[in-house]
Amino acid sequence: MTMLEVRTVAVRFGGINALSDVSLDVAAGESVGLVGPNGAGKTTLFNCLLGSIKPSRGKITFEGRDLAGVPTFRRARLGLGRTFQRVELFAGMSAREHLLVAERSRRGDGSLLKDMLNRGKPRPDEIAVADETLALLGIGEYAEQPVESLTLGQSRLVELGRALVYMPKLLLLDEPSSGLDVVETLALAKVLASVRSERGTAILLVEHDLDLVRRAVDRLHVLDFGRTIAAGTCDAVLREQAVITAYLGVAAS
Amino acid sequence: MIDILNQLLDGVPTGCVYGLVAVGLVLTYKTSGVFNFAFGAQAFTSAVVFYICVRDHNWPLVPAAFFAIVVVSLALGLVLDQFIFKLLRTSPQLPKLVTTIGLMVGIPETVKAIFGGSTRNAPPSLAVGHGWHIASLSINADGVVTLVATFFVVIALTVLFRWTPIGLRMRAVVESHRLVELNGINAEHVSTFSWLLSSLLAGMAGVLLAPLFTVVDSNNFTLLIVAASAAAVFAGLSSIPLALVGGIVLGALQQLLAYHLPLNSVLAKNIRPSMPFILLAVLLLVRPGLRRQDVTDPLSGVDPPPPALAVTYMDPRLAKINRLLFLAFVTAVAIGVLFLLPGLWVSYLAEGLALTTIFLSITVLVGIGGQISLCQASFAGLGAFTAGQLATRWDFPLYGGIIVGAIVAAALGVLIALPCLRLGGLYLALGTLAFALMLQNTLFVEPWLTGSEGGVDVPRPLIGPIDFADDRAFFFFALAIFGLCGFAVVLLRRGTTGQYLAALRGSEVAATSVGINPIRAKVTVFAVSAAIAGAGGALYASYLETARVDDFNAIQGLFWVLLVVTLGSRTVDGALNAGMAFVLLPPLLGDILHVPSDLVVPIQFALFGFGAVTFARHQEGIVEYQKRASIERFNARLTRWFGPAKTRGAAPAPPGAPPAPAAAGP
Repeated sequence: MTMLEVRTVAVRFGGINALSDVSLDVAAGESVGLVGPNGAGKTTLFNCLLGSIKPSRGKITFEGRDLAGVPTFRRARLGLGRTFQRVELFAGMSAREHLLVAERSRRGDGSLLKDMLNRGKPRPDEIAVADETLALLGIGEYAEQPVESLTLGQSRLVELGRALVYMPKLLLLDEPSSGLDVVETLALAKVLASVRSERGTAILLVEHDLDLVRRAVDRLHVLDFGRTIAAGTCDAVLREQAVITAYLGVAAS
Repeated sequence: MIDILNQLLDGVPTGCVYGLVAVGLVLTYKTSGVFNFAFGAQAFTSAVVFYICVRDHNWPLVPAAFFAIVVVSLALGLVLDQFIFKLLRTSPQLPKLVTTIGLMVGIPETVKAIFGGSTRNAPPSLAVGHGWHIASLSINADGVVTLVATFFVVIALTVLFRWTPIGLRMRAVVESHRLVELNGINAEHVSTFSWLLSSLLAGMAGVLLAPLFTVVDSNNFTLLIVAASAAAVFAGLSSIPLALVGGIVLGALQQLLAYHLPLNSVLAKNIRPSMPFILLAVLLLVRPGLRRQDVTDPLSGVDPPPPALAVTYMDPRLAKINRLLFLAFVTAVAIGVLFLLPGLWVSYLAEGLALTTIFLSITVLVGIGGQISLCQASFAGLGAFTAGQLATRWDFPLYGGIIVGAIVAAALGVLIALPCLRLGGLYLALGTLAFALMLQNTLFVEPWLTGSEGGVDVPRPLIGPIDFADDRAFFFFALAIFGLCGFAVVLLRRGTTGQYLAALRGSEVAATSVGINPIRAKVTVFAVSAAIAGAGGALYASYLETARVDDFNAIQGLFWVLLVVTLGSRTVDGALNAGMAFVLLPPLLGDILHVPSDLVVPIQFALFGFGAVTFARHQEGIVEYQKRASIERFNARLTRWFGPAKTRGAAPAPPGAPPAPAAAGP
């Protein structure tokens, strides 16, 4: 069953066509890679999916529901989770607190009234969820540390943890491996695999590390200059001439 | 037809005044990223110097103008740049705002302290001759001078920005001071140059504008800034010619309204003076493209994060000692108030507690919500008038009045929050200030709300058999209300709402990506803040036994915000310090230090105004900063005497690497 349907979406910034007529499907539980050179429009597409940019044309549906006009936080509640290319963390909060906020938001049972009755503090079961997730990501020992003291790689994992705690049905990952070393990248691939197998979460992965992509996705979608230039299984797509040209250029013969 | 044209033309000189100030605001914003609330204060300084030179010392006009505009304003500009704005170059929007608002309050008071605060009537004018008549249109000489000067300035600045290398650099520096430095340009020099340029403009504006008012008064200049900011917003804070156009349109519209609204109607009386503020509010709501204006420095990531609350650094043993000491302190104060302190000091303390309750609303909004609002005094006033009217008309008991006042204020808070919050940052500050001024000119002049002579009686509380009429008794009532509100603030910070708001402050996109509704969280905090302000206002009015418009005017509100933010907006004790400082400083200056009585208020305002400058360095507030420093000292001493603490790694923090904040305490 198709979960996410992107139909001929176009975005224009001034005179630049950041995206022109991109169409893309993600089925439930499927993992799709989105690759392309920098500036190809991958992050723009993510921003459209989460609603921080309004597409000038086209339609996006999630589980059969048209997303036009749906604000970001509601899309998150529908089941779209994401991480960011430029890390977006809550300054001044510890790693665990990041996950606690997401967990509270997922439960949706916090209210001003409860705060006033002193029932707003993080509860033991919420802390357990947060710590489990941090352990799964291998950053349990940094739970108490303010995020500013973490490395870029660890910060990305905190972001991923925050998204995972919210239990998205579709997880949008924007270059999760940039800033990670080889060992961390391998660990990341394992985490993604286990998230898929245990929770059946669908994944849309933007990534430059083609090794990670090959390991983590079923299908590949290639963008260049805002256009789809290829789509299909990893091996087939990476052999296509258009893709090679986009990534490596053409020989000046 | 010719009538309407004439009326419109009548508005042009005033419009040029708005335009000139708006150009100054846009210029400063464009070149330093600072929305300069102090522009009016700078203009005021030059106007006063010009007045003194001409009227008191009989200088000829031209050297006096040269001295006031070029020498004085450049000197003031240079001092401000070197000692204050230098520290702000790379800071975020909030410290910049707080600093310029502080200067707006501090500079005029300093000027008054230096040159005396006597009324300066009939300011001199640079214009000679009496005006011209063209056909049936007439225009006076002041108008012509303003007109010519304004157009000259606009053309010169446009040329500077469009076609000169220094103009290009000025535009680059404001995008990112640090990136420009990396490109080998001395951004310091460029910034100083920009700042001097806008200071010069401020001086010119001051000398030109002074004759348009009957007296040289700093409040006129403050109001002018807010009014002119409507024109600046019209220009998107970026286009100098558009700022001029906006100013002229504003002036003409105001004049047109003056002719066409029926003279004695409520509408004419209330709407006309608040026209610029209404326009500003409308512009903020409808002008597209304002949201994207907040420039974020691409290199802002190198700034250290805000420190955690000071209490989280505390050694557990120190926390225990602290708790005991706190109890001892509260007991001592209670005994002192009951038996020892003279009546005067008891009433100071009671007043301080009532004010602190109002200030808690600022703690909630600025410290927890990360939003700045400049209309807290209006909410407090609304609470006070509500309680007063309920008591006078229906013999409503005061505690009931406090509750109803809080609810009314909260309702108004939601009403304001919904349109304003979309904007955030600078625009929220402007919008709320415009709103406060609008309220002051419309609702707060209605006798059914504020009484016939700008005041309404508010009783002291009476609960069953207990009468709190006496100041000593009232102190404990105020303590109870303050305690309740303070506890609510702590619970809010710890609870879901506080966590969501902290997340939103950290990164709004990320917070929404985990399903947090930003509007709801912000409206909630705005409403809670307004409710606390309303309750505090009613309490304060009960202390004064009357609610007067003057106690809750917008400028007063500005001053409150400054004070709380400077001393510490994140904690309840920050608000308490602010409340007590506000009340205790005047008697301290007057009775103990024997400062002449006409200098007490200027010194108080100047002290707190310039105090706001420290905000740039210690955004957590002076109190929090000192608290953390002393906690670290005591932690170290405890460790030296009794060895390191055993539980959760709360050892003294090595500099630059604070330990993990535990759950935030009170």
